[in-house]
Amino acid sequence: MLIPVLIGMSILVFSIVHLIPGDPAKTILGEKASPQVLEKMREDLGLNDPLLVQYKNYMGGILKGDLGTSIRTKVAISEEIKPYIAATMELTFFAMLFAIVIGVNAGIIAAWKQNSWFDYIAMLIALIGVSMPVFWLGLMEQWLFAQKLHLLPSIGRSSILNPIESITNFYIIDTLLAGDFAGLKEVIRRLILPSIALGTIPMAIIARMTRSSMLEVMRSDYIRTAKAKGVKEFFVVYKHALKNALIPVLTVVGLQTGLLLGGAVLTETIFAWPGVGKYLYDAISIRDYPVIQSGILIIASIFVLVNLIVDLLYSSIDPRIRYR
Amino acid sequence: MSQLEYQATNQQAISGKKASSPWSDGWRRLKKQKLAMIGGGIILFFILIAVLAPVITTYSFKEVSLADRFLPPLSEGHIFGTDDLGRDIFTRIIYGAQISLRVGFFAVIGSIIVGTILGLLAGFYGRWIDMLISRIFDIMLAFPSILLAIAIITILGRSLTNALIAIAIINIPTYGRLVRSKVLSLKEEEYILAAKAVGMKNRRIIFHHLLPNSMTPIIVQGTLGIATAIIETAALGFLGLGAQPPTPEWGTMLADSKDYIQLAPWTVIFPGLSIMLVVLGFNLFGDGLRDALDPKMKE
Repeated sequence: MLIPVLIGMSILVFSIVHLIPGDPAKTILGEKASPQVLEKMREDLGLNDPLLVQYKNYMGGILKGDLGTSIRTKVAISEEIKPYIAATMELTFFAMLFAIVIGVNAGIIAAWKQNSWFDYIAMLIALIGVSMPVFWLGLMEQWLFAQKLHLLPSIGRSSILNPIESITNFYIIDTLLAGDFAGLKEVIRRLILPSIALGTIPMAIIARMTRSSMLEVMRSDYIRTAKAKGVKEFFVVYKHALKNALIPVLTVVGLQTGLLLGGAVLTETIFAWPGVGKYLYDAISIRDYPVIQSGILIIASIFVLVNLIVDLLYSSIDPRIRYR
Repeated sequence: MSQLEYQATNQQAISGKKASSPWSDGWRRLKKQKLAMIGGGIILFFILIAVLAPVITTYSFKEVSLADRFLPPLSEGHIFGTDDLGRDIFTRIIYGAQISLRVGFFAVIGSIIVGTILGLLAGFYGRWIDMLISRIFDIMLAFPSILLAIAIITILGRSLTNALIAIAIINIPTYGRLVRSKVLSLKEEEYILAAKAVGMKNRRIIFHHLLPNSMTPIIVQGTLGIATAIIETAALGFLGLGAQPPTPEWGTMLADSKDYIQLAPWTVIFPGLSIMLVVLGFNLFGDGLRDALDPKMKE
């Protein structure tokens, strides 16, 4: 199931890149290059080969871990892209953490205290959150928290004055390894605004899903039994009910994690966050074909992988689901 | 006709009351939902200002007046203030409503038409046709949608029309899958089997029986889909890939004025609020529509 999709994805990406108007040789050598030089470049790049041969070479490279070379920087993409992937993963992780912690708890309390003022306000915020354009939220955050209140930095992943020596490319881990706590504080401060911008939509969706799932579970017999037995209400909600209510929530979490990769393109552009989304967006604007090709493929592969992990997680949460 | 419907018709025949269609039942249920009605009101409001734009405002959305740059809201007849080129923001927003509603609506219509046809074919014919169409949907859904839209626009070129086409394409699988699963369950219904048994042509079965009976989830999803399409249009505009200046598209307006946010925050606040409000309207109305027309769809 997974392999045909991955092959299909590579064909689609290959076709997209080949459909983009323009001549890669011209992009590399510039408009003034002579026809002979251009022709030589095309030959070197393999652009004169039949499409099928080009696809075969491209796939052969990918299977060997060769993602091509960036036209702009002349660096191997498989090397160059690592810090960008790390930056996106760090941002996505914190956005999802924000979304899950706030979303699940707001959903639980809203269901527990159904029709209370908390329920109404939480669901109103969730409704607005679902309809929020990420890019506008990001701009508003920058304006309010960075420019008006001067509380948090508005762009970038680290301070230029105090660069972080990267070991793993995950700055949180890097600063911890180096014991640089001032750096760690700076990294976290810079993560807050983009994480909230990126995490708001999933937070709202998770809150609504948790609430409706909890309401359904809370009506079941075993919950009434637990209450009748005299189990404290907090434990009934957070232990008995939550376990069953979480299954549909997990589906949403998985789906949203995938969608975050798309949202990351916008968030990263606004917050000048050096992630894959921005890397890819920049590559598209200067027509860096190999980067476009490999970048899209990598993001889509991560997306497919996340969904696979979520599928596998089901069976550990719900023993009734088993995979053959 | 199911047992229940049969009884209902009988009762109506006996009591002499006019038979109510599923649509009027749905409308009655919809009217009871406060949030859906608020959503409907918001949509109606935006449609009205979009249609009446030339009557509501006397300013032009593109005429530059450098003497009036960055006037704050509520000054000299500019209730939302003016932008970096002295254009009235309120005027640009109501003309922007025309663009957002039109693009949202037509993008969704495009996705629905193509998605429905593919879904009907896949669901009805099964076998290799289903295999092929379903795999294409799987592959398309394996990409974050905005990324796929950006890729399509890179091929087609930057413009509002191309943004519309890209948004229509990326949303095809959503509708295709919905129709396919609906058709798969309808196919086993007795009236479809009966139609086949009396030798009705496939095309007639598809267009006269399967299509009308798959419409409810499509309408619900389509309403919610307009919300998504409007956000996507604005996102592409914001990235500079959709409408180009001086078109008063909301996302493009945000991109144009984001550098002046400190100096003139209103140039950014109002276009964003408009996007959020109209999207909220479609989300509320779509949710209510789902509960009213198709209670089973509710997860």
